[in-house]
Amino acid sequence: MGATFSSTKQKSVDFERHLLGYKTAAISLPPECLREVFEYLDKGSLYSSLLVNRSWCKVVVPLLWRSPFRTVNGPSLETAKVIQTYLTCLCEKSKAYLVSNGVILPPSTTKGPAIFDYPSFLRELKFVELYSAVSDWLATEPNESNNIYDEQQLRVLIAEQLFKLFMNRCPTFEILSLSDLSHEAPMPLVPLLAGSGADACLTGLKAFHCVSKHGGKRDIFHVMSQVSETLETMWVGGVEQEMEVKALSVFIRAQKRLKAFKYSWDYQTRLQIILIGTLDALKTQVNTLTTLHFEYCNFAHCDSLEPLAVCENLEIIQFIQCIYLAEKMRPLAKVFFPRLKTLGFYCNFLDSARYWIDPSDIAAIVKNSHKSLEHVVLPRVGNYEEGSQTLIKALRHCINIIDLRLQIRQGETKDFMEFFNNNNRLEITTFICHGDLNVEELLTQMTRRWPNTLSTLNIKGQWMITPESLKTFLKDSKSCLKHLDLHSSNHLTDDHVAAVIEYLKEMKAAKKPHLCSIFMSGDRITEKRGFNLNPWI
Amino acid sequence: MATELKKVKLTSSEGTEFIIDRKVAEKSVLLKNMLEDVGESDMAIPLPNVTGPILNKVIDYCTHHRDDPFVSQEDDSKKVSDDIDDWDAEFCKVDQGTLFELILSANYLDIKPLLDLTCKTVANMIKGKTPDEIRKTFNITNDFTPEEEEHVRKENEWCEER
Repeated sequence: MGATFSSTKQKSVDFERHLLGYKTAAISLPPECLREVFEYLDKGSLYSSLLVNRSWCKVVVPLLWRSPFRTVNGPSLETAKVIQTYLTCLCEKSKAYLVSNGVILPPSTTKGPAIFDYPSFLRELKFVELYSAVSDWLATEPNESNNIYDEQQLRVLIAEQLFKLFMNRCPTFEILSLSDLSHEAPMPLVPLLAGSGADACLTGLKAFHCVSKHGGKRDIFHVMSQVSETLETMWVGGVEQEMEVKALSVFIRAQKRLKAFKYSWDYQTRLQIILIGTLDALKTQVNTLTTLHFEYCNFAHCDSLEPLAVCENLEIIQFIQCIYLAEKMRPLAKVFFPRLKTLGFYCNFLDSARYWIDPSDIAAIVKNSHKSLEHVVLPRVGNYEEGSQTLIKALRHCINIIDLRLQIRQGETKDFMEFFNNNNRLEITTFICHGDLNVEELLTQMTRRWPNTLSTLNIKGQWMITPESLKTFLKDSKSCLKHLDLHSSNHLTDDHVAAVIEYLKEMKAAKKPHLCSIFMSGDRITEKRGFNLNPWI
Repeated sequence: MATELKKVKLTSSEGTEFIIDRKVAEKSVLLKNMLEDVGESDMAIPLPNVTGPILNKVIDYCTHHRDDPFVSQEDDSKKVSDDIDDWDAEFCKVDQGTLFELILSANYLDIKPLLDLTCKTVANMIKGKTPDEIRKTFNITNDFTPEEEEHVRKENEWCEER
């Protein structure tokens, strides 16, 4: 054994030298073309390609080690092996430090250098993934003599050394995520972000994520705003104290070309409170900002979205489960977003007034951007007068919408049909029905004008139809309709399910099924019924 | 409309001349930029890196796809190789040498969709094979020493499919 390992270092040098001047005779694709090919391979095929010959190996390794923790499927023996290889790449000083603190390094990690400088290929790092991979590694290693420190401390020590290793060896990181950490971060993160090598490594960072419970975000934002000024995506959340909000503003203002800002938090914890200062900071990114995404945010303390009105390059504006927006969209209704493709106000809570948004403002935004809009989720308008009708009328000239989710009530079919007839790209439509809407007329009219693009229809909320009419609709529906999702809490019954089954049997007998899936649910259906139609075909 | 009818002259490595529609030529970003820089000209554009038969294939491809919209590549999505349509699949039914030359030409001429198609085709030839099967398929010699191979295997063991 000893002899084998002592010769490894020399071998490794030979190998690298050999690779540099190496030319294949049999295959003449240059590395840049091979890389293009390998981009299409799964992990298993990449592993096979790795072992084909030296020149293939040299192209495959950087691809495999770009984001190894993301490539493996969940915590496992595999992540432990990733750590094992990284440990081999630690410098002697780090290894000695770990050993002196009670970490038992297996022989394979202490003898000789690795063939490749694996850490240098890392481009995406999610801190929690590194941390849990270290736990996986510790779990696979014998630990008897590690009594000096408990396992938690060993984990911190190893994660710390590896993080430093990445910072020192990676020429540049693309994605860094400090999200999903528990309340107490396992170790102080700021020294790592400000440590040696971090400066160079984080200068070119493209995406930074920090949606997390852990404290100390003020210092993290502060350090990051000094090293990373060219982020394209910033995704933060759980920003709680005033100092943190201020530091975030500084961080945003430090950016030179921010494209996407996402502010989110998870409902179970609490909502992210939005302060106007953050929006003011976003204003500095006016030239580049294309995407704004707010999820589980509370706008109660923010008087208006006025600062965002200058961001005329916006392509995506989304509010998911956000409260107290009410009339605060007004400043955005007065300006024109020529590139706006996605406008979304997704919300599950039908009856809570906190989620209602003034429809006249949204109607104005829709009208202004009617040419560019492709994906639209209209907001809940609650008790606002003629709310849903105002919105449906605004859709009239939106000829490019591909995916639409809207509320509809009795008497609004005509307005909807005006949109339906004008549009020629619609693929997915979702109706949220109100007031026990009888959808028969709506469906009949739609069937007559059904565009070849429309493949998915979802009907939710309070609506009704007779089982016979449902069957008639299915019979009359065009062959481009592939997916149907029906949910009605009060009016869908087992009779409807029976009618659908009958229809499916008839189609099967006639050998002309075209639907791929039907899903039916509701309080009066004995059990949820999803029909994957492959068996029927 | 006027540009639609304009012709462009290309010469392959052996000097064969090809006259094609400007619109077809513009599928190549390299040629598109050249044409924009040069402006109106009857001079043939020499392509010393592309042989006649390969250039012929490339022109076939660009002619068939002349009306496809230009797709700017956002590299976020996972790349898949099972979305090749019938015409494209038929187009790629060529010997390995030709396929590789097509890749090189698509790379040189900067025709992204052709590069994607040909690379997908090669990727599909690799998928699911063992290293030895891959070597046989492409006639590649294993130049690892047994010791090196063992090291590479060991250090990258985490991606071995079980």
